[in-house]
Amino acid sequence: MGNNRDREVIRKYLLGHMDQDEAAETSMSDDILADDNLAEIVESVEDEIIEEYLEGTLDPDIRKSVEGYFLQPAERQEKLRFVQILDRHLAAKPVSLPGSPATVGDKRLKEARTRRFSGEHVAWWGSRFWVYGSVAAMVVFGLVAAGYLELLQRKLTALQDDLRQEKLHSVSLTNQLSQLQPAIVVLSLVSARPRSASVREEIPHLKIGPSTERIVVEVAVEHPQTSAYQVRLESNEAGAPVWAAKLSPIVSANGDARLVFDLSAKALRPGVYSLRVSEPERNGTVNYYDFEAEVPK
Amino acid sequence: MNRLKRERSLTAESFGRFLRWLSGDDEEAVSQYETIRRKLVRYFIHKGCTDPDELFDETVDIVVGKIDAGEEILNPLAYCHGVAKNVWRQSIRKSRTVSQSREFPSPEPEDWTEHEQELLCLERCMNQLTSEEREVVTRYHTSRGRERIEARQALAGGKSGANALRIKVCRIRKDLRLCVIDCLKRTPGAGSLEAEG
Repeated sequence: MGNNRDREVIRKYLLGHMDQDEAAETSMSDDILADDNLAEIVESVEDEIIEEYLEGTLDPDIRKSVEGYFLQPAERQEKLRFVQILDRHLAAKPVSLPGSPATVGDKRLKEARTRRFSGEHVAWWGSRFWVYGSVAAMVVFGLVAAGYLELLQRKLTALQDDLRQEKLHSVSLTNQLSQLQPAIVVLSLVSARPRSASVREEIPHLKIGPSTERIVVEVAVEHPQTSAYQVRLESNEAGAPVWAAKLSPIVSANGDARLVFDLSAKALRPGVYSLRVSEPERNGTVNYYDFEAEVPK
Repeated sequence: MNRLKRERSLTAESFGRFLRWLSGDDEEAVSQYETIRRKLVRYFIHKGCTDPDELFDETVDIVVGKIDAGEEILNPLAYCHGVAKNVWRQSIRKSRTVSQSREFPSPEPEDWTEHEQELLCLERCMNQLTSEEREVVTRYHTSRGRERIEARQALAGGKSGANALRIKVCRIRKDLRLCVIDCLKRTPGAGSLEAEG
């Protein structure tokens, strides 16, 4: 059934030119639904329209239909983009086409042979010497030119290959670089600020790279207490705390105490944050530790 | 985005009822659903619809309503197609007032690293083709202008082979596109092509 459908009719259907003719439109869509071969032909006509659109060979009216109707679905726009990328990528690749470069020369040689064997009159300047001499000169010139062109072609291919290799190498280096960047970043907060102080003065900066997954936070506490501290991470913007927990301090042999915990890097956006630490004793004294998160785009 | 819309429009309950209606056997029901979905989404794409997935969900919702009303349906695909046609006609009535001018995606990459990744995937996928397929698609896209026309004529082996060549290239390109999408999905941080299949 599929082969009976004219590609031109399918084209009209795909460009929406059949939408006013309900019977024809229904018949076509019914056939496509029932016949997978026809569906494949329709897909190839779709590709053909995309190619012609990209080549700029469509009539202005058809082009208008392509833009106002055919290319409306996102899937077709992606297809268009893919064909464009593929075309650019492959058009730059040199391909040797068997037989084609010698066509012109073959034709001339054939004509020369025909004339020779048909005994056609040859003028004095077209005597054998001149004919063979000029043919020989053309052949020599052709060979030299072909050799030179081939050399240029080879150089171009080698340069294109080098460029492609360099690009691939650069992507691989970028990947390696991102792997080398640490996945865990440590943020040490040692000095609390009075609540009245300006937030942006001299606060630690936390750099979150593309490969950062976790942030280990260490907060030095001045009056070590054995019971748990209430810790809340607040964004400078209003809203619920980004993170909250009750934590017991780690106390070293010489009496230094730290609260240590880790956060997911995804929880942080660029901006200023305050870590609100409430001491369990000393009337619930609250200390604020500020830092600014920097997330590269 | 489409998946989110689908969730919003087609509820799990109606989806389940639709599957049960297609077949009592889970595997068979899913297979029939996939076929109906693929064909109807393609139908809506052919009709130039901006959101084929949403229209498909709308179609299924209507069909589920009909099933619940006790309508006897013999051929699910044909019935769904009939409903899809009405959904499409309604959608064009609704969208008539909406301007259709829009910008199409530019091949100029915004993110060069991502583009390089795309080219890397393309190269990988090209290498997965058979040597014959690779040769066909490379020669089909080679150079420009007159040289390209000659290359395509040579590939088609005459005028009669032109349509067969177009279908062949269409198949290869589809495989390549799906392969690149898959490759980009596996590459963290990359991926700009999306497809229905």
